[in-house]
Amino acid sequence: MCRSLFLLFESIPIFMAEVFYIPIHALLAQLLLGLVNGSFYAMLSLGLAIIFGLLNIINFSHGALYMVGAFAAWMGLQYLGISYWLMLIIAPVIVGLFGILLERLLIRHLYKLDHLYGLLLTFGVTLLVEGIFRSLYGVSGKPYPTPDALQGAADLGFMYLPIYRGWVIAASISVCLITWFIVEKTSLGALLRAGTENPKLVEAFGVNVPLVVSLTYGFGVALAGFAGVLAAPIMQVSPLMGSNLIIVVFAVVVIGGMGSIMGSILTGLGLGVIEGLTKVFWPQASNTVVFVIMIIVLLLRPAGLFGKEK
Amino acid sequence: MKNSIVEVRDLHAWYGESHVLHGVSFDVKQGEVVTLLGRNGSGRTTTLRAILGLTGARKGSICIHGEEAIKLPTYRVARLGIGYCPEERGIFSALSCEENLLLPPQVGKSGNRGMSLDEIYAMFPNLEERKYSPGTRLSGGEQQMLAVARILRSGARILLLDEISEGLAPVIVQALARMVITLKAKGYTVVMVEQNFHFAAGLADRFYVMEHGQIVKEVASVDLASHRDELNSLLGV
Repeated sequence: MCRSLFLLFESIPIFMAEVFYIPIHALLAQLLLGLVNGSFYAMLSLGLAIIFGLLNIINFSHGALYMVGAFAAWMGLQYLGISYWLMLIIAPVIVGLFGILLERLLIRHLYKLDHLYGLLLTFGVTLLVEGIFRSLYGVSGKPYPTPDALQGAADLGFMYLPIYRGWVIAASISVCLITWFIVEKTSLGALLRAGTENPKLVEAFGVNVPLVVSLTYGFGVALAGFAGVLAAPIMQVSPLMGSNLIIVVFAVVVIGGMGSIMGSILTGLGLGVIEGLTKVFWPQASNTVVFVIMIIVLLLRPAGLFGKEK
Repeated sequence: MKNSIVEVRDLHAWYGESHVLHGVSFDVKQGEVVTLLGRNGSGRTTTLRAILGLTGARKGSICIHGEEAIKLPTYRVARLGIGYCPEERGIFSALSCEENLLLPPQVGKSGNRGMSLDEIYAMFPNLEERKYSPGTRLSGGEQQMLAVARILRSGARILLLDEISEGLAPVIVQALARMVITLKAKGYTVVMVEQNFHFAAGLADRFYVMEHGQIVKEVASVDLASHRDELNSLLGV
């Protein structure tokens, strides 16, 4: 009797620490790791949504430009000894300028055509950019050291969180929220929202819309460049790192819908978490869960969770 | 004789393949209110859009303040001091009423500061009450006031107003008529496209009648009475 009571009490904490027979610490750990992936999804889908809104271009080269951001960080350190922190600013600027050039020289000519042409062009740019880096550096991937200030891990009780991963989550959420604030709450953002709705009329008010379009594209891809630098220490810096990611990010964009800035941030983070949790419950499905959700969303809400029906 | 500040000469315009304007010529003088009349599809709206370069290909000449504008991109034309209120009003749904008002940048000669927000709210008190509402939640009349009001802030002194009285309650049409009179008194130059002849009759100095993408008749307001029958036959269905 006494022994069975003891067993009962002993089993309670064990029971409480499990959800469907999965230890809670494993669950929380995957949740956090999912949030890290979600941070990248959020930053990349945010840029895609802003670009699509104003330019009507499905920017397939987003992944390649993310890779360029990571390589810029790696090259900066390797050849010039420029620190991670400085590259966190310089790399997005480089990627942004490259984007502006791309928009001015190539993408500009496609605005009157169907979305598909923009997709094809930016897909071509992707192949070109990836090809160049492949021929220079191969596909094996380059290691990038974690900056000194962000080494080590923090004991959260249920897991040791590498400080760098915590930094990735914090930095990306901050950048996403700043972008959201600029777009939704400032007069510059009002210009962007108006231009998304009716660019010809905004131009008829005397706004240099072609310039706004160039800068918006530059800003959108600079976000990808920033994400690339953040990714450098945790993922291998490789010419194909963008291609691996961008397909999932496109699924994220489809799920979230193109209409809303906050929508793409929340969808990005949310799907990262769902992917993380799937790794706990059904590891085999973790690579496909995003696409399964995409199919369900497409069937039930073709414009996406936050998108507006047109 | 005052100088023309808008001079349109032999203006042709296309939408894709279709040739819509067939050599439109007219003048608008400083401080004048001019109305383009005509049946639907006669090319009045297209004339306004062509001035700003919002149509497809164009040919001919458009001089604003003596400067040739036909080769300029749309935003540079607007910066010559033109404010445009489109027929569909073009209120941005993603912007609040006040954001809509604040959107157009300053255009025209520096020193032409345009109206302040306070002056605009004094003229259209409804807009102040609704300033935080999303633009498309406003009533039709409020949207029309907003569409006109937002180009008054920009310092534009030449206003292109497309069908501002269309589909609105009489009391709002009267308010808009008072506004045009006020603007004229302040020295604004106004080019209106109007379906509502009675609305335009009381406001405009001169009328141009359009048909098949051309101007077929010019009537000064003093001669309106003697030309009424002819105008009715040109405008009647």
